Amino acid sequence: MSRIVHALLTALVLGLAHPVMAAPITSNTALPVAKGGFIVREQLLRRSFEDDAGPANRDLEVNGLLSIVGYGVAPRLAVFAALPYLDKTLKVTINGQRTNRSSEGFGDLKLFGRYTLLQRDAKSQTFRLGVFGGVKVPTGDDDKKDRFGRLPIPLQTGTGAWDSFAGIVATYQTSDFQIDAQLSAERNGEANDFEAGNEIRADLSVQYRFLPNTLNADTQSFLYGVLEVTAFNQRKHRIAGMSDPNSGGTTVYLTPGIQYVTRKYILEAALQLPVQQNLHGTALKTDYVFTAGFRVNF
Amino acid sequence: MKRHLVIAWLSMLGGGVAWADDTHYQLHVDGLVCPFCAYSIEKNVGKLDGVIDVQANLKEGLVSVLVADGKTLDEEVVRQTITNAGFTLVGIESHEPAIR
Repeated sequence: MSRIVHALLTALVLGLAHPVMAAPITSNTALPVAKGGFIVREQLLRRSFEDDAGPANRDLEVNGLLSIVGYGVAPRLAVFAALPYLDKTLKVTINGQRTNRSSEGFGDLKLFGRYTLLQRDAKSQTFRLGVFGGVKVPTGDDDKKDRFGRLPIPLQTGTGAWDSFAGIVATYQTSDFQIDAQLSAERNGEANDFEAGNEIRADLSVQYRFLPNTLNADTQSFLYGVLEVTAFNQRKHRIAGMSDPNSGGTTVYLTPGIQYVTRKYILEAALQLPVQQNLHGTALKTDYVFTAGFRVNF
Repeated sequence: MKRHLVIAWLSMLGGGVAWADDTHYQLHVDGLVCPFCAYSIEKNVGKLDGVIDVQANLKEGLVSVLVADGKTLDEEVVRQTITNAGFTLVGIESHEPAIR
């Protein structure tokens, strides 16, 4: 579960990787940051896991604040750093008693870059194709304890492991709409006798300009309606070298959202809803993911 | 300086009026598709020497640049600036001063 949260945070981070344009809310595009330019993004995240049919009746809630800074090294190369602050609460039934276990703190730092391989601009439209890759540095605490002892891995704010990820992303945008498609993979490392399953993720995002209906010479802002589809697959975790039968699987999300785009900043919010969850064993299912935030171009 | 303040004041009024001897350029930019893009271009072109005002027109894919008297825009410099902002310069036109 912790890895799923990190996967989500990765998606949020990469969604920033093209701050010049509006861009999807939960996925990546190939559009560049201006050379020498900075962007800052703050994202609030609330993720709820429920529907545990087991006797423990687990409910997990994760609240996060993700802070990202991006810098344009060259017209086609941008680098990013992202650090989440996480607040996790697990409600679980132990020996008939409902118990809360929780943790709070900074998570793992993500460092990554994106290079635009292909850029084709025309009047009021653009197509970009890019690749991205990076690492997750285990800066978060992976040894938090409470009165019951060491917290389970999903409740730790860090994973303790070095992970790496890479992908390819394409964007087509006109002044009326934008379409983004992305494919990415993450290879997870091992720490504390735990190795999360590797991940594959595919995203498709459509953003359509609701307002203004027609453009004029001094149009200053857009209001986009956003609809995204995400397919996420994770292999089973390995604990002390053994495959965990209650982990991994495939989830498909449908994500309606909204974006208000001005010249200086972007406000955005989205509700990620699972429409298909084929998880192994008793792996916790996602109830919903809500994200909201802003992006500023410096 | 005083003259620039007057121009800035006129621009704020929305009149888009140029001072007598300033030169007005029109940049044709491909890939200009949203307000966030416009800001990136306006910010970078605005840093060029002699530039007084920059306005991006999303509808037409045009960027209007007002340059102070005695200054000119070098096409290659502008092209590189637009490229650095993440877009493509197609052409550049200069116009006679708006007010005589």
